[in-house]
Amino acid sequence: MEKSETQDVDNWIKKLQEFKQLSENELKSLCEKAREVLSAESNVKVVQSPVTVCGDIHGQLYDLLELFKIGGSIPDTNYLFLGDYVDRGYYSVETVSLLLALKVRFRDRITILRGNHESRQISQVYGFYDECLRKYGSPNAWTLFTDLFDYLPITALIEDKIFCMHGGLSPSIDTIDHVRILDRIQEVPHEGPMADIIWSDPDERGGWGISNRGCGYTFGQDISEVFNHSNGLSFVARAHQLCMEGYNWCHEKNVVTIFSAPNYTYRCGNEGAFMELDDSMNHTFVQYDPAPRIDEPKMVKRTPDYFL
Amino acid sequence: MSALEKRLHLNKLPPRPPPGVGGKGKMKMPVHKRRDYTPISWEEYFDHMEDVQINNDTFRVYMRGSDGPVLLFLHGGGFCGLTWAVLTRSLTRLVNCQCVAIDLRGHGDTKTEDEEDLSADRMAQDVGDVVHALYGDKSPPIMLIGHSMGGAIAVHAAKDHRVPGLIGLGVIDVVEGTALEALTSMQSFLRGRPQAFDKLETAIEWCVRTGQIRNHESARISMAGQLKIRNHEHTAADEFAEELVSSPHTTASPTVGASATITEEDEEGGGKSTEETAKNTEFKEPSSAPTPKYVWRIDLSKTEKYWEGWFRGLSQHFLSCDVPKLLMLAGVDRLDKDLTVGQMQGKFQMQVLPQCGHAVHEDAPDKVAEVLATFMIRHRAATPTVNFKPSFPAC
Repeated sequence: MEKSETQDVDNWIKKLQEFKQLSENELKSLCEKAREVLSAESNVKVVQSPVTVCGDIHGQLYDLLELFKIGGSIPDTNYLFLGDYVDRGYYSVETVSLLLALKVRFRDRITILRGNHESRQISQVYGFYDECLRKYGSPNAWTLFTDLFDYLPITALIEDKIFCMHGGLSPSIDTIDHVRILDRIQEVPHEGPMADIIWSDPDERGGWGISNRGCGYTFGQDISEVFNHSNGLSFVARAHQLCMEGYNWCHEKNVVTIFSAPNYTYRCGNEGAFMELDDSMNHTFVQYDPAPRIDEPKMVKRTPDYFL
Repeated sequence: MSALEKRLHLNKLPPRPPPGVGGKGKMKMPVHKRRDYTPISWEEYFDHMEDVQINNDTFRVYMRGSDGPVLLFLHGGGFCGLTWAVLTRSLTRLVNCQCVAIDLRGHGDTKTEDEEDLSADRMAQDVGDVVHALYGDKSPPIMLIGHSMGGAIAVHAAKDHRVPGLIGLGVIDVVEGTALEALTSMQSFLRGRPQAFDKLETAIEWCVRTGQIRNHESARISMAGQLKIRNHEHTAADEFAEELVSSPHTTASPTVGASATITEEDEEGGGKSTEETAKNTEFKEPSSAPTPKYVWRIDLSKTEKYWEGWFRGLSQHFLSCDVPKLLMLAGVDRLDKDLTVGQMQGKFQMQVLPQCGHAVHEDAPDKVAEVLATFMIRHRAATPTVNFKPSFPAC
């Protein structure tokens, strides 16, 4: 990037950290730059330690800024985000803009994967579309963002030892090389390996199961063990499920879930957490409470007048 | 109907919804549309009906489809089995299944010794009894689907194992936290409704214009089941069906339809003179207007003592049911804490159908049918027909 461009992006980052949205033109330029950066990345983004791994954010910008305050700021700390930046929270636009701006400015310091909410179908229903419409007066911003989401990588591999994605494993994928050959530049499909990676959940039941979510699969400890063993992995790190403590080990430490939106949708009372990996791949979990909020918009709940 | 009468009816109607609600037409398009509010008989949607005898009680059930798993439908408070009519037609086009819609106790054309006991336990047991009466010990696979109060009853019936062979649970637009919050304003809502209608067309028009049911085809079939002729035993739907049998016409009489159709243009061009007429007629109304014929089948205000029991603990009960679960909502902000956590842990499938009112299945029958069909096929509970295309989950 040229110096003037760098300065532009630095200004955007500063603006977004102050909860000010970018103009539509700035957004257009940001998405163009981000597309360039993201399309050069592999389906399996290689990540080095030390790195801090974070789960769902869902537009909770106050909490994302708190996370950076506790975990260290970029570029001093490296970050890997596991998807679900938008929907449900009040600042999806600023949250995803900030992460993209950081990606454009410090491409080697931050990795952002795709979650199931980084899709047209889901973000139309769960708040992001409405927020874009409210903040930009037209669906253009939403179109810019969702077109860009198609370029987000879907998995990351830390030091060949920790395999990361938003959802989980897929019955169509035995080795990490299978992921490398997928064509990921598309809307999240209804089924198949890409949908599974973004939608699946670990489960207490063994083997593969039909997911109650309506998309992806559930996979048992037997599946995780075989996958980790045959790919030489220590464990799988994923997000996608709310945990009251912010993180949760399962399958006898073959899989960890990380969830970074404390008090999710301002009502769940859960902690947020992230996972710090040091140079020698030792992991530490850091939990945190919701950040104090100033002038948070009031919840306007549209209840029906008839409810019997 | 005279022009004066027509205006009188119009003035009794609540204001029209704001532009953009319930329609996608361009705002500036001149309105010349005539809307038909004549009732439609259930026979165009269901194959047959049965009056199931249980001790001294008779439960009305409507049925469509002859093979595959059973989808057992439970209506919301005040509604009746006909609320599912349009949906069942769409659904049986997509999957091979049998649709069974019950009139719950105190509702529709079900007649029971104790019409007052609308407790969740009583009604959940009724559901179990009807299933047993229909299928005996050879119960087919059954998915329970309930709307609002019926959703709560479905959850109670599932949690108490009232339905053998249960394979799935579908709940439409009812969430504990939101329902309990809404209950405080329910009595005033009920008081605000018209207490009677002079004819079915007026009732159907009221129902559509106020957005109770936004799909006017569905309102034309289901609304009559919410009403009865004063001092009569049967619902207006039942009487209407009988009238059709005895009258020379096989469908709604076209003359009735034409007279009841209201040109919306009239209403907009009304202006000042309409207002004046309204004042005059309002004054005269008590002495000149005859007592309107159609009243509500059930006085919901008297069931208040049961409301909390339907909804209290519903979220946890729903999550604890050990079958695949589907929650369909008209708005994502209706989720309470327990269900938000449950959803974010992948415990059930959720589908939000925006552009819908509370009666989601009536407002968007095709979309709800698609969601239900996809759900059944995904869980290998039903086989698709050639028309089936999967819909995308919105978790």
